[in-house]
Amino acid sequence: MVKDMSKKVAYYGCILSLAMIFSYVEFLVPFNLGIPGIKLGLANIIAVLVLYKNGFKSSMVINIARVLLVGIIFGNIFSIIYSLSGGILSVAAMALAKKWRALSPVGVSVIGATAHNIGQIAAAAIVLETAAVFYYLPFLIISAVVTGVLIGLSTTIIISRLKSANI
Amino acid sequence: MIRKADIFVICFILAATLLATGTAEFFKTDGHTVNITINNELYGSYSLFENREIELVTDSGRNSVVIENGKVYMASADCRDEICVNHSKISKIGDTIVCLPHKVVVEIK
Repeated sequence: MVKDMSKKVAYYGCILSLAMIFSYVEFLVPFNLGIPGIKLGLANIIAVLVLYKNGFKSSMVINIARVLLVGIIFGNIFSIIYSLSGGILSVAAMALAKKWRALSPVGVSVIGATAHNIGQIAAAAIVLETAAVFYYLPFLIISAVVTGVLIGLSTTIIISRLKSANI
Repeated sequence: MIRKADIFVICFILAATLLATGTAEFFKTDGHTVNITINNELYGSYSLFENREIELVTDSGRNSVVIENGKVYMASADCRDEICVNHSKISKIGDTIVCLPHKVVVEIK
């Protein structure tokens, strides 16, 4: 029991720091396409991975912890609000999407990325008190589909590699 | 690795986005005034129903905005990319023409 607990702490500690490093890498090397708000979403690899390996609750907790920690270290209160709303919606949507067995991590990740942008824009609309931000949404969703496919493919590879390494 | 259901989801999201954008575009209403802001400060507000040409001279350069039959376009500008000049005519509420190098925003209200 004690051994299980320490294993868990170590595992989630590694996962959380990995998610934070992904966020940091993206902060260091911005993947800029000219439209503000478009990101690769590297940290979403962790959200999808944990969702598949450890389930909805773990993924949600890791994602919220990651957003809060990264936001406190590198961001500000607004970036925390936007990311939190996007992150929570994204993991919830992915958990629902995963229930549809025909989907692979690619489809789940695309749904997650789309939900993330919708959540973020909705939060921005409330904070800035304007609906004009929704004009961004089509561009964000198209980019989310592209980055979602890339993230989903990477996660598929990672899941199978971890399986063959028995982790 | 990518399954049929994934492709279905991707197509569905893209189609829904296009449809929503198209519908929103279709239901846009004609505007009545043009606001020109330079460097985030309102430079002037003009009626869409009076044809005129507005010369903007800023520190960064020159832009010429033309209001013609309820539509607005950037007739000429000496910015480096001329994206604003190539932009189509605008007339609906919320439409904008932006000249990023000169920080000029033309918006229909």
